[in-house]
Amino acid sequence: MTARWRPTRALGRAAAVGLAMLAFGAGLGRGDLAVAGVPLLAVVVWSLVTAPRHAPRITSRLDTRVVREGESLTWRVDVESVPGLRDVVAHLAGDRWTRTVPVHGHVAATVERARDGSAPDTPVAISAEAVRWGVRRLGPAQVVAFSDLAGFAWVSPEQRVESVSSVPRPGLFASRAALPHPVGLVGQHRSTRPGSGTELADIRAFRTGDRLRRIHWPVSLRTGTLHVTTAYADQDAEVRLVVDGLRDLGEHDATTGASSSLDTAVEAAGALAAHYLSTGDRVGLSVLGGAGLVEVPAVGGSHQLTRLLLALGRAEPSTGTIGEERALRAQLGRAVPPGAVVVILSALVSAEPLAHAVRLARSGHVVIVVDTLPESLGGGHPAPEELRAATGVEDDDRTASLVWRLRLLDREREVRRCAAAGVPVVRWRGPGSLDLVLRGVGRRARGAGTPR
Amino acid sequence: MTPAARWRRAALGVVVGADVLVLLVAGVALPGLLPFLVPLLVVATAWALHRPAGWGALTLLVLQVVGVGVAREAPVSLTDWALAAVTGAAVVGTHLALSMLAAYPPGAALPDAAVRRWVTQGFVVATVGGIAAGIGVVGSSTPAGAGPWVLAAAFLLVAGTAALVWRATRTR
Repeated sequence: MTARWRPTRALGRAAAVGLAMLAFGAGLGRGDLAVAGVPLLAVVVWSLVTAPRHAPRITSRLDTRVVREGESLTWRVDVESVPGLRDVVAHLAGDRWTRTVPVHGHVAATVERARDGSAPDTPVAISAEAVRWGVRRLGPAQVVAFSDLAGFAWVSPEQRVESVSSVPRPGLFASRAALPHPVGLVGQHRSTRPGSGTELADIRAFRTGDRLRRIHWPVSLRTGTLHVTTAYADQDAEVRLVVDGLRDLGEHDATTGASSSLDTAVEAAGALAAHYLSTGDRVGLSVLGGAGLVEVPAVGGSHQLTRLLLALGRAEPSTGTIGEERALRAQLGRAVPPGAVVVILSALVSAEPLAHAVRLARSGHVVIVVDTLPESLGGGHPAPEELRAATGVEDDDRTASLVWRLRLLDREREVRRCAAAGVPVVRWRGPGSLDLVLRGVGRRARGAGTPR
Repeated sequence: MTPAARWRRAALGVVVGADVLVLLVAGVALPGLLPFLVPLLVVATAWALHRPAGWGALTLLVLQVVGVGVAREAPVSLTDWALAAVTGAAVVGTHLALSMLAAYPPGAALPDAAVRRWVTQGFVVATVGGIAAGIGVVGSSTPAGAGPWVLAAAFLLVAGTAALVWRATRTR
């Protein structure tokens, strides 16, 4: 696809005024008018003589298609320096979630020619910073070239739009509480069964088959018979993170640090994943809602965090299509392995994830719901625009406020229902958010005498 | 790189300076024209600077030329021809400044090489006006019988200028 060099309005203006002045000067015998028109005609002659004949070839590329939230990528364009081409102007449109550097997205470059007239391709580069996680559309990117004195212009017919993945930054999370039901073979959680772990369980008399390195010499010498130490087995647990992406409530604002409910859910999911993967557990992810099905099977290991963050970057609020509803039903109907700890990160305004939590709890799973509703919407006095966005009532603030209060009452009822079913609901507060409920769940499991 | 604020201020200065020059040249010859010309130039300048690629730019150039053309008589002296050359330089300066403002986006910083090239090219085309004024001086001070010779000299100068332009741009 090529485009032609076209004369600019500036060239037409110089030609019109220059020729008119020359004609009037000659017709009226006014040499001064003719003299004043000559420089404009010189501009026209210069532009015509040096007009480019061929359209330049352009090659453009992004230096990367995956960035971390807050990091920048660079869009580079190389414009072939055809004879007559003098200046190149490139523009990359930024948007709410992509900040270009410079902010207006325009960069100008000039062709640098050697003495023999040859010139390398003219490079132009514009940086773009991913302000928020998610899959972003970058562009359209445009390139315009000019000849001498801006007499001719060439507009690239190709306006490129690229898709860029911005991976969320995981939040901070640390927990001193152990997961209640470790069932895997390796890990850092202490099992209730003896095994080849590191934590001391007992000292008992030597039996056939015991390892010699387990012999406890002080006790053996004191008692006169061989004694060995036994240890608890180290086991890993499976953590299933379920991000409720059905609604995104609240506004993301990088300048004030305000986060929407989905921002908080994604940040919390990233933090939980980073923490439990670092302790040797297996972490899986389901994102409910959105056009694309986001499911990551539970696996351990260092690469799993990257997989999870990339998947979290694809999370987007649901638009309510039939396809999305089908996908949601399929996701909710998927079996959860026994012993897995399910952490549902939700703003608690959609019924489906909470019903899912109650169903899982009744089938014997440990389920924890993390409340991600922004503080501004959960209590106090939300701003009218936040209320309008949250309720969908655009034209009446009082109605929007009333609708939101009703929704909060409904939300409280759902939370009570969860609590009655044994599903704790905690607010996300970063490190230690889940400690209290995990200890409580662990005590409950031991109290019930659950053989794990 | 020349920051956008700086080169845009310079371009604006060229346009306003050309307006002031035109007003001075016209005002000295016909002071009564100024009350009509000043508001027209102010409006046209504002329009042209607001939309440098639009009709406002054409209107401003026409007003500058018409203002000087109405105020002054046909040139006879060396001063008259010099003023005509200066007016030509002001008009082409206005044109080039508006062309730059139209070509480059408002926020874009310009490479220093581009700024140097625009200034040099502007100087060259303004000099062509000076050469034309020189031909005018020679023509007006030559007896009527030498007209064909002056015409031939003018053609030679134009051809020479064209050759210089071609030579200057051959290695583009």
